[in-house]
Amino acid sequence: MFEDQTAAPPQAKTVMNHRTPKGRRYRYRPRLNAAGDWRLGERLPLVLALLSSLALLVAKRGVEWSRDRIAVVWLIEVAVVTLAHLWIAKTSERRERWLKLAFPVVGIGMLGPVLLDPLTRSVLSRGQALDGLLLSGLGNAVLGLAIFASHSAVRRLCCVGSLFLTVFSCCLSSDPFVLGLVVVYAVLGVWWLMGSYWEGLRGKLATESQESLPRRWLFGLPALVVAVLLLIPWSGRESLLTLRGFVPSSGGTGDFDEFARSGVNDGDLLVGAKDNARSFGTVESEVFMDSEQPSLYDVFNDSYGEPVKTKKQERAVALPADLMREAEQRMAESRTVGREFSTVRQPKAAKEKPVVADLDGRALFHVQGRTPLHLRLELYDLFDGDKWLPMPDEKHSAPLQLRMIGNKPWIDFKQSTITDVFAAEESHALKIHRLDTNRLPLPVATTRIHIDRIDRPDYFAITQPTIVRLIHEQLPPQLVLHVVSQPQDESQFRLLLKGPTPNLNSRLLAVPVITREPRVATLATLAKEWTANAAPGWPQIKAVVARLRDDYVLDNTAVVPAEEADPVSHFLFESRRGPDYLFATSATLLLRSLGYSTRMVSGFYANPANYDVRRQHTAVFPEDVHFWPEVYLGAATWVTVEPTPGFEVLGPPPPWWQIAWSAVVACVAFVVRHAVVCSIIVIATTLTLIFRHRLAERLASLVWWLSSRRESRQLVLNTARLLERRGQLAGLERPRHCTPARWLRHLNPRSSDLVILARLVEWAEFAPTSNPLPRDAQPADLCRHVIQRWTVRQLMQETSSCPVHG
Amino acid sequence: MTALIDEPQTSAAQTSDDAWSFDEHLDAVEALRQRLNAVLKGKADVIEQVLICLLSRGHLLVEDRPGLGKTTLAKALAEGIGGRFARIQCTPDLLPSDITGFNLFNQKTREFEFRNGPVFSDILLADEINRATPRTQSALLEAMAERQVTVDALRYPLSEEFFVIATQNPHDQHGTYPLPEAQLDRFAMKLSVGYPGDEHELAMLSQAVAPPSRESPPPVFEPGQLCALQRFVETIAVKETVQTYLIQLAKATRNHADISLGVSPRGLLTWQRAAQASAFLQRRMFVTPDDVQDVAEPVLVVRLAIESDNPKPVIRQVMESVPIP
Repeated sequence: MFEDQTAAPPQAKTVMNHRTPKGRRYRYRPRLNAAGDWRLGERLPLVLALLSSLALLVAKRGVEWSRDRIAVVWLIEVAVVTLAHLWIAKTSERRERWLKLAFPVVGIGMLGPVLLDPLTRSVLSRGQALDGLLLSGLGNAVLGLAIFASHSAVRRLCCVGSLFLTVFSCCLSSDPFVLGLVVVYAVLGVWWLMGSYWEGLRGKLATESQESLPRRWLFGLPALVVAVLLLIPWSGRESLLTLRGFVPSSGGTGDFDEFARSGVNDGDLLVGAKDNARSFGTVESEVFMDSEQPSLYDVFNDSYGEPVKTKKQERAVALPADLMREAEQRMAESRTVGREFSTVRQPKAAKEKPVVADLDGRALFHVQGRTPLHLRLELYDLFDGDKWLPMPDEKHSAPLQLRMIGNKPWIDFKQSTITDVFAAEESHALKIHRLDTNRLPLPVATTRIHIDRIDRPDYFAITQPTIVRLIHEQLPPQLVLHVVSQPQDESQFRLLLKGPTPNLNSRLLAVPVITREPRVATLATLAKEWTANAAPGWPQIKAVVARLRDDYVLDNTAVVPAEEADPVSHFLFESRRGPDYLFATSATLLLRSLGYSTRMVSGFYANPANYDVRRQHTAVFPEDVHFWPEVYLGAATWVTVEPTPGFEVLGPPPPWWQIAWSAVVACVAFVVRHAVVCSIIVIATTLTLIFRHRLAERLASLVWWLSSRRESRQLVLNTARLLERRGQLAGLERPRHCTPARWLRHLNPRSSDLVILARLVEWAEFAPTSNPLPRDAQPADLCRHVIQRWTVRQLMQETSSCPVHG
Repeated sequence: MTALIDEPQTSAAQTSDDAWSFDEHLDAVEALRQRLNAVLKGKADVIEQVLICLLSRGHLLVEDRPGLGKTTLAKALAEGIGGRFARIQCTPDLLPSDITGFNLFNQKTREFEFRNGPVFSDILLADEINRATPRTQSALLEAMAERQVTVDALRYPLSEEFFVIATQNPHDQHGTYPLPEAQLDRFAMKLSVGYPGDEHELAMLSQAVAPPSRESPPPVFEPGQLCALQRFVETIAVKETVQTYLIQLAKATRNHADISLGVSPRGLLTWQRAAQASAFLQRRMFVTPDDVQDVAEPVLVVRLAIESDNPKPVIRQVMESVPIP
């Protein structure tokens, strides 16, 4: 309409003459003016609603349902909602007509769970709490709104609803998957908001507002961020584990926040709940369940005249009676962690006695906090060539001191007087399920320990030097032990240990003499050979450890032949492979032969490989029993040395850049490990991206051929759409304010078939159904002819480059 | 490929008055177009808009300099449709009764007789309408909107084909009374004729040298045909998607930063009717968004209060901001 009028400002013109160079290479140039299409904005609320629905499913059902079941349920939701949405969005008439149903559908969805709950409770013996019902209702309402989200008002409501749903789901669960969904939701939500804002501005601003909708950046940046975020969890446990310690509650920073929900320093406000309430586990609670098992706690209960229990009486802390709940039936016991619970329960109806199974776990105990962690149980000093003999018990150890920190009793347990070699204090929680010992598994540099309500130091005793035990025969099950210790800072060892340690105890330097062969000479020679280039002190120790770690193979199945009387020699000089105790023994003897006071330690190794990301605890299994040496640095300071390959010693928390670098390294390592698959994915993705328009065009052509037998109107419209797609590829994108008919006429005004098709498109799109097909028109033939003739290449060659104005 | 003849064949071919077929209407309009093109050379697009305005029962405001053929166009139009032509040269002392007519006391019959004013014509040219006082302007504008005049409490209906072409000079604004927005909204379109090109001016000069034709050609419309055609145009189908598009465009004019007064509902009705007339001229029995866009500028420029000296870019922005359905 404006062709012959005043010339438009250059930025407002829509020019279709993006011709490709002579190279005939298809090249798509996205338009950057007001014609930028924001039809995606109509679909994003649907995506957001489905994402929030998935978050709700995982948050609510993540524990009781398998991931596969959740995926199936969600995919069904996706299919139903998407199909209904697309069907309603197809035509504006239908959109308006069906909008009347939006309110009833959303209302039924919201009220449905509340109304059906009594029924399911009585028939299926299943039910949900009120908050669960309300959340289900909200989820249904959001999905219902998503169906009608093609209408602008409903679209906004849908986004608000999905936002609330996502926030509630996030509060409901600490599942990393839900957090990932929240991140993706946030990125897409911000994208939608930005797009909507741009869309809202269009038409309200003067000329400069017509600049551009930066689609490439709007799409590219969020996609890049999401891709990077997805790569981290996708690249395996290593990269996930490296991210621990970023915030106080995720462990290891030593800070305390009473609101923290997971990690080492769980806040006081932590209230967990398992789906089954009638259970108890390793939780510090204000309520104590009655149990037959040995306990540190005893409750005087005279309310019902309990029969005499067969409980073996041991020393116990007296607790007031109101802290106890009587058990109505057998209690389930939780030997896993992470899902903690309140033990305050409403008794269930008598008619129904649900069976509560033990939530069993194979773990002896769980460690909450940074790992790896060497937890010591037994010290050995004398080796007779075959057996290690434990260190004698402490006869006259100094009494332990009690200290109250924040109304909690802590037993001070400072062992070392040298603080420089250790990093800042760090806490761990050990949740012991079953451990047939009364010794407490503690790290080497433990500074204090805490067991809830044990406020008397005489509950603890020192057995071997620096090994603490409870005065009970064994550690009571479901014991929660808080340990504050200091990780080793290896960089300081060099400064402290500059040569062989003073002779602390002859047993700590003893190397057995075997008559069969000159062991001492051999070991000493080997040790000197290995440490020839190392300075005395810590470098020598490091050299021995490094040699063992590098040249020897950990093989737990390797056994020393029965006839071999000297397993260490066999390991060091012949087999060069063996279990961890041979590594530890060899390292101990080699270091002793160099003059360093060294002792052997057995205990548990909290392996980071056993870290449960979902529960955020490291499980310690029976097979995690481990041996390692400890070296005396002087001044009552012992440090852990780890000669076994694959085992690490806990160091100070790494700085943020090291954590980030570790994540990068883990990602890169993952990519290198799966180089072939990654290359295929990258190449396929790149090729798909490069040729996406051509692929889309091929696909569209295929769809057109498949639908070419449809009725005339649809056939004509499909043909116009296919030509539009081809026009995009040829750099002749139709401006969104230009009708397809006008665009077709402008492609090549001399082409009669395009002109006729334009008229047919007008008829198909805007003529009432009572208006018949124009006389002499043969849409099928015409459309076939047009599709065959006007390929992308033909469009590039024969179309005009005239500007199209509205 | 066979040529596509796409005029309606069945019910659409029947007009509301069965006296004329669709083809006869088209032939008459084509004859009128040719006749107007013959008198106003090189202004086919202006004539197209004038035809749209005529068929949509709207009134036309032509803003241009003197001597560009406004009167010629109006006269030719009146001759073409076979109606009466009247002209008012608006001045500040022009009274409403000079336009509408007045009651005159007849000494013989001893009764008042109503003397028709120039509004009782088919084509009325109101030259330099902005020179008339607001009182006189409003009298004319009542006649335009209601197609009737009221004198001494008596209503006198005007011709069904009543069509006003008002002109105003954009340059000589001294001593004028600019039409307020409410009155501008009564016009369907505002056009500028503009100077013809050299070749057309040459043709015009050559034609002036030749002896004038004594016989004026017969009108192209039969009596009543124009009214029938106007009613027929009103029946051209407008799909709901196109109407929604019109509403979106109207909203865009109301929300635009540079437009202080957007399209009124009355203006929207006029716009739709003009689009229907445009569709008819394109030999279609249904309106497309292209029709809406084609008539947008003359329809909008008369009724939008645009805070810019050049309204066309603003209107273009509005049109480009709304996607087609």
